[in-house]
Amino acid sequence: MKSIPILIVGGLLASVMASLPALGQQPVELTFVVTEGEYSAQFRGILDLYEEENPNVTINLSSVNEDTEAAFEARIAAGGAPYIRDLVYPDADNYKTYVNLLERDDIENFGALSYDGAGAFEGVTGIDGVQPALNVRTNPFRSFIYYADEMEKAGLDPKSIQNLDDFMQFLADLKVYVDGNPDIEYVIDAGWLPGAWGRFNPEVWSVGLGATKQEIRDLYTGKIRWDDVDKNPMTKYFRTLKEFYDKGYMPERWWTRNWEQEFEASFISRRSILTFHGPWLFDKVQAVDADAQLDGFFWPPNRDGKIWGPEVTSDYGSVLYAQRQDDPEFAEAVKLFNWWNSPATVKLRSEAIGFVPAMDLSSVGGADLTNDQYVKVIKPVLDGQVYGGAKFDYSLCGRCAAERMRISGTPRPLQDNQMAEIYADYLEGRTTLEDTLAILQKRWERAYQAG
Amino acid sequence: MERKKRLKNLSIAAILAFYCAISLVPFYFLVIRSFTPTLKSGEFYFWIPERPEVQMNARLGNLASVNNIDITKLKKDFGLKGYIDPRLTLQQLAERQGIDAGELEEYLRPFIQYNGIFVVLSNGFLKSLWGTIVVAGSSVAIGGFLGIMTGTALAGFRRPWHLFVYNSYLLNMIVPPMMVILPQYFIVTQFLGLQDSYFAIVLLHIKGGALSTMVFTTYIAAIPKSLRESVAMDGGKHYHYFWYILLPLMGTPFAIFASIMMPLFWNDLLLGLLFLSPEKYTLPAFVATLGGAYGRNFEAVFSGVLMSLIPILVVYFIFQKLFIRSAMAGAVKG
Repeated sequence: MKSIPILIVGGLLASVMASLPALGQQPVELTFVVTEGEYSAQFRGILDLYEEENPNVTINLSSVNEDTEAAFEARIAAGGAPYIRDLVYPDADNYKTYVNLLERDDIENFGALSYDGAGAFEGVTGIDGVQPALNVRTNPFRSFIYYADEMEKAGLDPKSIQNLDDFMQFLADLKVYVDGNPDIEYVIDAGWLPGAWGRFNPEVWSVGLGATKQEIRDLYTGKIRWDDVDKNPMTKYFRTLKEFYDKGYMPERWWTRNWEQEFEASFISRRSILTFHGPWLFDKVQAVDADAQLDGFFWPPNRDGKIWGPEVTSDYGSVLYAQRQDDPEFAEAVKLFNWWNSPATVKLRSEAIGFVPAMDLSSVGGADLTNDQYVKVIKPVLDGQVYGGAKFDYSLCGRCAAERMRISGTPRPLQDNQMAEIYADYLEGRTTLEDTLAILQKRWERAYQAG
Repeated sequence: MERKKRLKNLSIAAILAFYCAISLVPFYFLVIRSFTPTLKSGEFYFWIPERPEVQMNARLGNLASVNNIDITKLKKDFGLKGYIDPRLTLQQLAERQGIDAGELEEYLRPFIQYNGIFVVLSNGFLKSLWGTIVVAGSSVAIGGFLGIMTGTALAGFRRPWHLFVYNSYLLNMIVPPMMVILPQYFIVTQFLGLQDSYFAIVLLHIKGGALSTMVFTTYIAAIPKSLRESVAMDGGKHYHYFWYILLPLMGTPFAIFASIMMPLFWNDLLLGLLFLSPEKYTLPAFVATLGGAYGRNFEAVFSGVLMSLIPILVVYFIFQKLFIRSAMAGAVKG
């Protein structure tokens, strides 16, 4: 008889225990926003795997682009943040929007990164003890891209370029071919995008023309004045750009050409056969013409034998929103965040969209990248097969190095639409190189607080 | 004399025909653009260009990124299980999954050849259309009705405070909507709990309608007082006057209000993006999301714009007579 109460209590306990996993399986909806909307299908395919493993979780995937960003930010400001966003650019102005990943003990994968992921944000902004994003990718590589079959027709072999002189000769030869071929209009195709001509190209081209990344950092951090024509490491960039323009290598008034509808479209339709671009143009061309034989090459190495390589920072990382930290579902969001940035998932992500992982993936067999930009352009450098075994310089870019000095809310010296006018005035001869660099010095002073 | 008159008429007709043609040209090119592949959007076409073919050696991922091919839907339609590697070409996908390559090609052909229309239709256009009809239709109907009620009260400014109320409505016109967007969002979602609700947008569309107040107050003020008095003399109440006399006379001002506000409500991008989840987006918000970080499917964007114009054109043609009457309001027969 005494055993009856024990049985009852035992039965009750058992039923309570049995109900615990059920509580853990409460349906959860997690909002997951991506910035690269064009890869939504690829991301959806990967996130489907998580939903299959966790049937109680529904991931509401959506994307934000240039047109919808303002409304998205307004929504966050009013309390409507999602749980996770992939690919953000955290900076000193916005980092508090995101969870400080260093303050939580349940964030995984920092140890697997191939760079100092925990210190990356501090390294750029100088803000101590904060890491708002977890970035698992090497930022995009930018290179010259060309149609190999067209180059063959032209009798040119871009892969034979060994140094700057070869490159200049190659452009001169290509110009002769372009002039004799009515179907091709430009030697180096180009259009306007502030990010390209304000952030990346000036630095990448300057290094390609001989400068070092250290000099560019010195320029941005105020150790070298912009208006010092002799010392400014970008002087050669501006001179070369004018030389290219004057020789008719680039489209007339290229700074007025729409990036997608004019520039990219003209390359895709082969009105030009050489351009300078990131990885996405490969995808776009090959979606239209799967047989297109695209190839590419980097600027020749600088005087230190280095090729400009993209720095790895918090940029392009994924974030958790601070607003959501008190939600009951937040633990599930963290679990998804950890899964999204785990080596197994990063392998799938990098293979799906072609980025070079900034993570040690040896535990999952490494990433098998098959995209043309990686196979034909990046890998040969990594394997030491190009430019006599020249290596990438992945150190901080000049603009990144100066972030800690930036005056909040000001445009960076080169990166806004006003630069199109500055380029126009210089390239069309209304201002001299000296004038242009003086303008940039003023813009630098407006953007940064020296010291 | 007769010849001169005919020549004059012909000249006027020619000018009007020319004006009509240049007004319609943008619509013509919108149709052409809706069928112009995104990656040919740098070219100028007077007629729909040749349709691209499905290339079986194209990578699935590239087609997903550039042509918005929905891999999840493809999996479902072909009954495929597990992870589909986007690096595969269509041919490899067919071989690995045991799908007939011809069948896959046929399945994808409309997506490649009429990419814009199919992307728009398969990504929730009809749902967005329904949302837009609900939002724009309710906003015009409720906004108009409230405007008539407000106008009835304020017409003639019989009390000193009527003018104050009237002016406070008009104040809405000079307050930029962006300035109040955050407080509005906070009130509507946090206090009223209307997150992800069409009614939230309707509420913001109809609140303090400056235009409706102005139109209806002015129009109702011009209605002879004797009508109201005759209702009273016959023992009718105010609501009898409102319901049986006033409302039937409101066709013209309502058409003025609707013809101005309907396109604004229909094309409202910001509130849709702010208050709704992507599953419930209204048409402008839906079209805005067709872009990515590095590219935009212009064929789909133009198709989305074209298809979102069609319903409002249909509305215009249905109520054409009413709109013309509103345009003629105030015209005096000579």
